[in-house]
Order: sequence, then structure tokens, then C-alpha cells
Amino acid sequence: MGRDIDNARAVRRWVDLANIRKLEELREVWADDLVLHQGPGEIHGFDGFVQLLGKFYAGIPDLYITVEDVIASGDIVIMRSTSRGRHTGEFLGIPATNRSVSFAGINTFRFGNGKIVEEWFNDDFYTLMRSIAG
Amino acid sequence: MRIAADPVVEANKEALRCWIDTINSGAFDRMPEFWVPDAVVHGGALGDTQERAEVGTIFAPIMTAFPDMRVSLDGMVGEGDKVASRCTARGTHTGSYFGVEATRKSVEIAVHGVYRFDDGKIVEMWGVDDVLTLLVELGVLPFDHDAASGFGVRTMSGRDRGGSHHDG
Repeated sequence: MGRDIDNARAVRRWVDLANIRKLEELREVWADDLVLHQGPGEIHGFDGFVQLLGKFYAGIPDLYITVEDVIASGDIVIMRSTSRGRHTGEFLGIPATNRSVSFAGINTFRFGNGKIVEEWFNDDFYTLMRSIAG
Repeated sequence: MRIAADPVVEANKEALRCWIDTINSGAFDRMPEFWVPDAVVHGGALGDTQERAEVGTIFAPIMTAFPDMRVSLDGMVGEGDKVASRCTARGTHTGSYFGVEATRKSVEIAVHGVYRFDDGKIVEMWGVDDVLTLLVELGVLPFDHDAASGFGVRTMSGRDRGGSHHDG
């Protein structure tokens, strides 16, 4: 059971580090050769992942992720979260609207050698886009 | 080393597996075997419900829009009274959905859920479905694909999602 607890703790650590923008320290929990799946697309490698985070934070600089639930077993952790912030920068080509956004996520993380090697990212971008593009 | 599995967690996972099989067989009349009538559903393409009468009919709009919808269970974990699942839903858009008339396009999207069980049945469910990708695939959502580059949204033309199955 120890591994489950360690992995669950690592997922919470990733959220904590992201929320205080210690992006370089994310290497503690994410593997260099990570794979991120989102919709029909994929991102490979830590650097691409941090660039993606940068795009989020450019559009929603105060974005804050709240962990709602963590379910862990074996090398898998599934986290349910709510992300909140204000759209004060360009995001996905949409100029700042100054609107508040709040959207749910259920994300799956796979661990290898104590780090996250793969994530299936699934945040509710529909609700997010509807908030800022409507 | 494999630690002995929690029998309640294993039973709940099996129940969720059976429920997904039931969706795929279209036997929605069997829903009461898996869900309590007053289950609380949060978000996802199903919307929210806390009304007893709604739970039994909550899948109707999706099944009307995508009558051939099939759900594949790509991964699942259980802990305590919860089971979380990562699934892919595939179907052909042959009925009205989100106010969009049938496009006859085949689509596939990620559908992730967290289910809370009590006494073997689902009492609460949180869902996040990739509706944005769905609406982009249906061609009904104005979307700046160039700006989205790097978000993974439509940056790959292929359907190869890669990755591995998990079942912990």
C-alpha cells in the first residue's frame, strides 16, 4: 500500500508546486520523458509540458487548482480537481475578457520509478471556453 | 509483491465494468441494478441531476444523438468507496446534440468518471467528458487551431492515442 500513498502524495505535491509556480521544481515529480495525452493530441517531454503550463498561466495568471479527490492503486492515480482563475491574458487565441473561470478536471497519472511518466489530461475545456468565448 | 485486494473495492470495480457493458448492450432498463434511484450526478456531458426521476433518463439525450455509442474502459482504479475510470466513447452523430443537427460524423472522446458506491450501487458520480473535442470534431465550434497548438487540441491528425492500459 505504501506505493499508492507515495504516488497520491506526489500528485498533491505537483498541484502544490504548480499553484505556487515553482515550475522548475516540478522535476521532482514529473519524469523528463513524460507523455501527456489530451484529446486527440500528445505532448512529449518535461520541457513541452512546462511550455504548456506557461500558456495557461499567460491567459489565466492566477489559475489555482484545488484537489477534490485522489484515488490511487498500483502505479495509477486518478485526481479530481477544480481549477479557478481570471482570464486576464490571451488564452487559446482569445484576448483577455477579465471573466472568472471555474472548471472541473479528472486526470489520470501513471507512475514509473517514483515519478509521473504519463498523464491523461481531461479538464473541462468546454466549460472553460464557454466562459471566455461566449 | 501483490497485496491482497480489498473485496469491496474489487466488487465495486466489477460493478462498474458490468455497467459499462450494459451501456454498450443498450440495456438501460437494467440501470437500477447499478445505480440508486436518487444518485447525484455532477457535470460531464450528462449534466447535473439531484432529482430522483432524472437518473433513469439521464443517458437518453446522448443515446438519441449517438445511438451506436460504445464505451471502452481504458483504465480503472479503486480505493475506499470510490472507483475512478478512464474511458473512450465512440459513436456516430445521427441525432441532434447540443442543438446541433446530425452531422453523421464519427467521433471519439475521453470520458473520465469518479463513482462513489454504497452497498454495491452507485450513489454519486463526477464526470468530465471532453465535450470541447467533440464539438470541434463535429465542426460546430469556432476554434483557433493554431492558437491551440501545444494544448494537444487537434495537433495530431492521427487517431493513435498510444499509452497503456491500466487496472490497479
